[in-house]
Amino acid sequence: MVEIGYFLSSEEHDPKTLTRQAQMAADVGIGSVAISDHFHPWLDDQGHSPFVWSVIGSIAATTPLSVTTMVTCPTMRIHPAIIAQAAATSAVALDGRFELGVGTGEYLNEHIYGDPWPLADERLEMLVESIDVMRQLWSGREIIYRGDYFTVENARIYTLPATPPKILMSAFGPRATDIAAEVADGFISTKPAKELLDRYRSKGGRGPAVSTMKICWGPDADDCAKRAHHLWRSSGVPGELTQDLRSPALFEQASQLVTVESMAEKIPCGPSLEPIVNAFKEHIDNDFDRVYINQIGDNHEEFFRFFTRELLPALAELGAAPDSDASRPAGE
Amino acid sequence: MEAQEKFEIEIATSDDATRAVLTVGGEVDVGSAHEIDAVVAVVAGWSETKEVVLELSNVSFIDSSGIAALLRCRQELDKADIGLSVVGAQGMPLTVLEITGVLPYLSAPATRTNVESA
Repeated sequence: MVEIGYFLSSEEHDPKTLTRQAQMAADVGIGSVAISDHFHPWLDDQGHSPFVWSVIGSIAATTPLSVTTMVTCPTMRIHPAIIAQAAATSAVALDGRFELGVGTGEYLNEHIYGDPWPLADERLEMLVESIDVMRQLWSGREIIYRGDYFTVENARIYTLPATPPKILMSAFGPRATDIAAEVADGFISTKPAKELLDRYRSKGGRGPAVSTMKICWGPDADDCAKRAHHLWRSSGVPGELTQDLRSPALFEQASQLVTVESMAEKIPCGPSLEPIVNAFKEHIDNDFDRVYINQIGDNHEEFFRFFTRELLPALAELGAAPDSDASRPAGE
Repeated sequence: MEAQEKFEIEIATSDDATRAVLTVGGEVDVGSAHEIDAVVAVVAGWSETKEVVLELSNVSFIDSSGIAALLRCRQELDKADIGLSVVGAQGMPLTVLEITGVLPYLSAPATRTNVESA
């Protein structure tokens, strides 16, 4: 059974709106949300980037949802000891329903102190070490850690969940996937990346495989395509080094040739159910366990009505369910 | 005008998008050179691009990391059969480009042989 989650876009919304969307998701029976963790949005037009840990507190206080960050970079902008504390606090506030999604970060968010930007391989090494630091702190012992990248002295986390949070790792390439298979409790992708997930599993990667998909549902397909383009044209920037672009202004320049038409080809736009179901099915066919859907824009009341009346029944026919208890294998 | 220290890079395109102009300013060193690679990867990924212009008038400093980034830029663009012009360098950066002898290679017409001889 594949689980249907909802994705909260911190790039587009303020904390109260994100909390309201989480409540609407819970009201229609969704059990899990994922939430992006940035310092900057990708584009000025997106307009927001709240501090994710505060938003999680608000979600914890007002919903019964499970929450996963997608993804947190625990290496540059925020020290892993502090992320370990934030994650532990979130897990306690959510009665254990918290997973820490991690990745190697983007220059966009991580260069704000003016520190040097390490090469991709070094950022991966830093991530692996940060995971070690966080897990040691989650043991509840006072730790002294002297690693290649991080030092922790006489640190102990006092507010801890009954079991440590699971760490899910985002991977875009084979090397990161191999490392995720070694150190992570689950796999994250922003697309139905079959080859990488197969590689993760073949290397012994454990736990859930989770992914995301964006849609721009609404009554008029052209309006939806324009909205998707206005807010997310940054996702059409070519090249394999977009994690090295420095600012929303540069992403705007880098996305100047992305057309409305090309966005509509990538993202289901408009009132039609079929392209959304087909996009979701690709994640199921490629063996993902949980897929977080994100509705672009601000018509979420209408979207969640559509979700209940049309989308949920159609996805149920594919064997997907919005409830975490129903969809998680026993023992998870 | 005072010499610019802070690294900056901007992307502009001609009306028909065949020419991408990358305006670089400030200090191109080990801390910033990777940003040239990232931006070159973007414009090389556009199907419209036929020529890239690297505008270096506001570059105040360039070291071996910066020269290496310019050479990688040329190699990446050659792979995509995109031309490159490096223009505007002055002062210290121009001296470094001249002493290292890379200018003729950087601005030569794009050919596959450039990749092989690099």
